[in-house]
Amino acid sequence: MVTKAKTERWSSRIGMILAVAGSAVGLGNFLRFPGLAAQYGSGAFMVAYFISLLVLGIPICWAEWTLGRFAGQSGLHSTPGILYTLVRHPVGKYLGVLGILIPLVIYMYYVYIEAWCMGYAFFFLTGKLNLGGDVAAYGDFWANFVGANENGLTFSAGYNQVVIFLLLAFALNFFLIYRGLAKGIEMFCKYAMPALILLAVVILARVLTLGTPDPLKPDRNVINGLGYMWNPGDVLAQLSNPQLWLAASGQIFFSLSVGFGIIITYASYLTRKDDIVLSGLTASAANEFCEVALGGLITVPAAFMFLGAAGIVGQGTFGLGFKVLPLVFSEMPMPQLFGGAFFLLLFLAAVTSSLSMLQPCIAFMEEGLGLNRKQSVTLLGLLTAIGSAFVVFFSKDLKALDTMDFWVGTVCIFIMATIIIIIFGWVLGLERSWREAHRGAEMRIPVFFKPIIKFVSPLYLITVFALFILFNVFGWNPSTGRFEPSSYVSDVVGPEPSTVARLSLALIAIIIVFFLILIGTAGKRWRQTEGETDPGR
Amino acid sequence: MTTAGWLIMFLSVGSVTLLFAWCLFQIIFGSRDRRLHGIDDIDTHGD
Repeated sequence: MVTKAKTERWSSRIGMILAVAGSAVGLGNFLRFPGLAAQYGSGAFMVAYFISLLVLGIPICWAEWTLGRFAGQSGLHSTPGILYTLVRHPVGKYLGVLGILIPLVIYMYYVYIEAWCMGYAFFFLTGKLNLGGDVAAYGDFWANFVGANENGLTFSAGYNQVVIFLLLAFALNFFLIYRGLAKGIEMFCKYAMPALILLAVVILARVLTLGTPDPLKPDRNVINGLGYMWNPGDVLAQLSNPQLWLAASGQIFFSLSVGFGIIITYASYLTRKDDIVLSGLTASAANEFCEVALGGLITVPAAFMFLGAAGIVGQGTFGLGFKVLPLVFSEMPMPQLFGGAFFLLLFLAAVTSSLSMLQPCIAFMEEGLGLNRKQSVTLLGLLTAIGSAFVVFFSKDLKALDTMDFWVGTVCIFIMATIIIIIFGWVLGLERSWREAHRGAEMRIPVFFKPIIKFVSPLYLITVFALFILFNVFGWNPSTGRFEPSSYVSDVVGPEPSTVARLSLALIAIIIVFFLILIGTAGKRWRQTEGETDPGR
Repeated sequence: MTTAGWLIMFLSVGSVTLLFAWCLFQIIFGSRDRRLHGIDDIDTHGD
């Protein structure tokens, strides 16, 4: 035992599952997944997607739940604390810096996107987002709203609405996190998750009953919209494309929030005999339901019905969400209601996710530095405010946001997930981890997952990561065999570097060093407490 | 929409919906008696 201090606990099982599911369900479920599935030809994409879910998503989820609950019994809940408990080596706790860095940095830009969703919901509900039938008008509105045309634009008069929504989003997040695990996060997710699903079902019903919105364009109907999303191409040829596997496994990976340091923290608040196998599977299933059954039937079919295929291609996540869909909802009957409902849905999904990003840092500050709740919330508020202000100020082309998302929100997550699955299968040992996972379990993990967790998941993960680096960092072109470093690399070390990209990486480096120093201090504190509790160790 | 499109849509949407429904059913109505008490006694801390 490291500490005997009274620890926080979840107040109910369903609340805890909804909190984990809420952490996973985010903008990617409703915007990124449908875009990728349509882009890669749904048939082949779904094959790769479900294979990735089986060999990557669900096994790593179970690993995180198991390691979190196991280490949480020692009274530590942050990733550095959990790895301090699991890896009996001084370096162990320092590996946990990723479990602080990832949620903290992602929060810094995610809360900004959360503010966009809140703003768009407000604009729709108040009838201010009906800009006609030209998608360019919505593009201009979005660019001005988020400051994509010029650095510092959102701090100037007339363009600062987004800052007000950002402050509101910040206040909501920190109010809930200050209330604590059960009274804040769990309470909010208990209402927000069912509300989110209900809103999505209502919008889905609306989309599926639109028929042919414009009788002059009979081919743009609901059936063809679904066909655009789900009709397969040449499945075998598409499956031979490594980019498709990369996209599908990446989507599973980011959608389930594995490797963020969040699930491991949430699971650490469970008691030793709480079920984690069924709970973990339920949280993953909730995420998949929201992604495939709701997101897969709403976004792309609705966009197709109003804009056709040409209006969707190449839009990307933000383009689809904040340029195309506002136009789509504006063209629907009752635009205020359905547009407002959709962006409220996105806002709820974003809040349940951003809350989960704060908890690992709060846990670390409380158990590692001995701060009380008020102090830790204040310190974390200050840190995230500085980071978010950086992202909001350097908003031109969303360069700061994009750079942080790539290096932390993508690269670091791969590394963190690899660490977790290796600790589960190799450091703690598969048999011991397996027994620990089944303590208090209400269902058994099928035995074929044993070799998957031990061999297939790490290999698959490392392969996907290697491919990711090859394509997205070194810019390998398989058809020419040439390497052309991606913009993320050339922005930093290319002939025409981007100052904002360099500053973003410098900020990330400062955060890493800052937390490594704090982890060193926390380690001394944990060793001291451990010595007092168990002088024989 | 092609037949293959319908098939993929129903298989994908159906499988995740069934899995979610099954999990919810087990969580809400599943009996606590099915807990695997036999492995509760294993002490992994001593390893």
